Amino acid sequence: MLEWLPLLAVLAIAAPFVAALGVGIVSFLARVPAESTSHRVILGSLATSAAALAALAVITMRSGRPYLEIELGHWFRAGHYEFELAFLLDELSLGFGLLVAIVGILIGRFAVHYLHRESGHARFFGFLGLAVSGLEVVALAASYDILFVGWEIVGVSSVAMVLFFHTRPGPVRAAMQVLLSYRIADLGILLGAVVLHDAAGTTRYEAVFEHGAWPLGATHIEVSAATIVGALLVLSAAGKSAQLPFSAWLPRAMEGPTPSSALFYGALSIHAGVFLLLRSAPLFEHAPVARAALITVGGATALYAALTGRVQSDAKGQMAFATMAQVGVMFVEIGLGFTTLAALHLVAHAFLRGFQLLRTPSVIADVRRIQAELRGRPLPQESAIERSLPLPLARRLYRLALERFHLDTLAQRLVTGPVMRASLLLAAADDAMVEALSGGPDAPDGASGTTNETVRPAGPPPRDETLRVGGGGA
Amino acid sequence: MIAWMLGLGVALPFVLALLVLGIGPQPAAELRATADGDLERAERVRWGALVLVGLSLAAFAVVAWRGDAPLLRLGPMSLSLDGPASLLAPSYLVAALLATLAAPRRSLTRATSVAFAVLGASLLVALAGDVLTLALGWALGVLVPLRLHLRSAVRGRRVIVGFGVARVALLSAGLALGVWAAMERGDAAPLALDAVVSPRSPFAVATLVLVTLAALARMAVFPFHLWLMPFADAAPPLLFVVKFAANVGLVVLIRLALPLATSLFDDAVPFVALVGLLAALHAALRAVGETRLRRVVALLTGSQLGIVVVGASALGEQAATGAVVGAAAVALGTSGLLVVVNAVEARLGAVTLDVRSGARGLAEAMPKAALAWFVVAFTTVAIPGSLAFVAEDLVLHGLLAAHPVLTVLMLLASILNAVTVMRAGASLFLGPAADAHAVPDLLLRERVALAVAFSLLVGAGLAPSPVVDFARRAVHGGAPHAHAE
Repeated sequence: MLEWLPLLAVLAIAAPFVAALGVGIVSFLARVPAESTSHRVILGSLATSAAALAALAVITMRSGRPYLEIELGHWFRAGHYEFELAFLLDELSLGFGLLVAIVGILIGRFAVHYLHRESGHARFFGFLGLAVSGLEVVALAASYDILFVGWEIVGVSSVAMVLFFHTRPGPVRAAMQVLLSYRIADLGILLGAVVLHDAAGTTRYEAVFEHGAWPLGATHIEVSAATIVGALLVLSAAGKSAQLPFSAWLPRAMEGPTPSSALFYGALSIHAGVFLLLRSAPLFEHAPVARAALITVGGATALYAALTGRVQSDAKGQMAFATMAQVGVMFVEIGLGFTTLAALHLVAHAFLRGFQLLRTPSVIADVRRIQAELRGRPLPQESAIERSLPLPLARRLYRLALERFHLDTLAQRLVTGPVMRASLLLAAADDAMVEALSGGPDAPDGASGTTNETVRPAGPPPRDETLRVGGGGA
Repeated sequence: MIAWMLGLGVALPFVLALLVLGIGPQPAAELRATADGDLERAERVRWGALVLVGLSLAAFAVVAWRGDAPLLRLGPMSLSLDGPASLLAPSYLVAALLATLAAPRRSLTRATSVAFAVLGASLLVALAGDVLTLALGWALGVLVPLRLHLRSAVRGRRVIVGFGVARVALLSAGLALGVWAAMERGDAAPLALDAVVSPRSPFAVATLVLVTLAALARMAVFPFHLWLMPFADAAPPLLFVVKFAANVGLVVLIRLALPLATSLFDDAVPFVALVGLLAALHAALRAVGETRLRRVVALLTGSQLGIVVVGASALGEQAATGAVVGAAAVALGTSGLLVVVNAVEARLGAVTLDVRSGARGLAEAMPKAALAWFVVAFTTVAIPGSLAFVAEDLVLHGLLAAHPVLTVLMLLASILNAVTVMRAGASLFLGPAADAHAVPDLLLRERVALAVAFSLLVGAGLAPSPVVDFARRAVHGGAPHAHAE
């Protein structure tokens, strides 16, 4: 049976990827596939992936070993460096992998009808396949190097899903914010992997955490290296799971269609950070400072999200902050060493929040049904904590929650604002120097300036025929 | 025989340039390109170019397949397909091939001959086995388009010409000093590249400075980037692709400047890495706020070339291999992005990403162009599964231990580049549809060109071993010349 492992692992990961690639290539070179074709191809690939994962789980359990590793050689190598292709099968990887496959199928099935006749139907299913493939890579990876590959694929899919309604300005702005947060956070895992290469000679979990099935095992790398790697992983996990200081992107990312919100920000992608921390739990045992950072980030986010979520006026906004708060609690659980509890919390929360997000379009009907059940009795209020607070403090917190603790303003003032100003300053300096080197205004033939006007390339002007629909003049 | 294939590969773009001068229609400014005859002639230019550039590529493929780095001697001049050139020269040709396939029909005039001549000149530089060939290719690359630039209406044309002449003068002076010193030493082959960049030369430092300045000026990296903006504004579509995809400044830096720097100074490597980093960061930061699409792509290319320089300077096998792979990925990615830019400009004219006027919403009318932009853009900025990711991973692992701070800053440039391509794509394609209702989407040939670019970037990214092994051999490079003809 063990000889089937490589094939099954490749199938679990590659089936959705190949299907998504197929939908993309056909859409680009020919025409967008019919709704039934695109969703059947993708859901079929997800079912294949789920079946392969189930088979992997059965083989692993029957092997009697706590974990199995699958070696597929190397992806590439140069000098002493080798990017190994290896996958790990244990409770955590198979559990998360199966969760991804099952939730992916459920949400995909829901979307078949929910997105019926939406212009981006095929696009949604293409990115669903890509996202599930990326998440399976994250789940089954046997090293941080490979995990990063899946991590990035999930990030790209997530940004694409936020852009689903790309003709509205809101999703475009939201996608930029998500991308920026992801890219900054990705620095952590990328640098962490390189530091691990330096400290342990590899990023393979087996070597970094030595022997023992998850969550056991102990790392032998020095405390300083473990602390640096741990802190970098907390940074990455915080970015992916919308924890402080990256929390601002999550409510905005809900601009995507409901199935993508459920998939990415209710059930799966948002928990990828938690999975990373769970996988790295033995490392945190050896790095108390990184653990403290983890607990602080999780605790602060839980508090922030709980407060801010209470003043949200839309259902998806409330869901976003509720998710953020629960994930914060998971961070704290991992920091305190309750890894099994955090893993269970992850699975339960993924199903619950995914379901709740899928129900948000029907929230009014749900409330009316609940009111009918209550037969005129008032809805239960959960304001005991607020009532116990001193009024000035409650008002202050209310104001801060309304402003989302000024996170957007801070990001604008500390990151995006200075970067854009520096960029515009450099551009102005360049223009001034080109002007000076050109000997000042010198447009004898009426050429336009370089600063404020559009300059046409030296090629011919646009042609009438290129502006006709279906014109072949281009 | 195999060595003569090299000569054929280099000669064909020049033959093509002459052919285009003969059969190409006059530029539209002089003659109405709407005439059917002109359009037919433009198509003839396209297919002639595809055949000849394709043959050139096939010639290099045959030489590379033989794998014994032949040397072609023509009097004092010589050509050789070894070192980084073995990967870079074919990537230049692929970029030109894709750009030609997708080029707007009305841009395929006689003026296109300049682009093919510059392509030939770039191949001369990349494959040069001696100083004369290198200098000739370098000078042709500047002098051939000189008339075109001088006749351009864009402000800043003097800057383009001035920087071009300056880099010819700088490289010529640097090489002349090296040759003189080699002759003084009584070197048996004073025109050989190794002899010219010998640390034993009394002018070695001067040669290093002059050659490095010339290379950096060609790469248009900070602080020698001023010609980049007017060039991006003014260049015809095909010349734009050739000039940026085939960036021979990098070749000169890797083949001449870096070996000389490391043999002269123990601490030269951090300095060169710093120059590359500064270039990468400056271009990345500059591109974030840029509002002209052509400039955005040009700056993006500059930033990525800076990252390649950082990798090349690390000297370790991993980073150097990553740098060579990265240079090839930059050539392919740049050509892919410029195909989209040229396609959009063919329909709408020069595009300004004016933040104040909001997004243009072209995705409604050009969904395939939007898809192509985002896919190629993200494969260019090192998304896993792309060739650029392989390059960045190798550079990162080769660099971090030696220069951790530089590595982190290099990654910052990478982050900014991702934001830039996303912002440019969002400004152009996303948001409410504005003026784009009647714009046709990509034509089949444009889609095929982009699909090939994507397939190469992702195909080589998913199965990178052959490319990486090839680049590794190229880095060990300087493979002894097996035979000369």
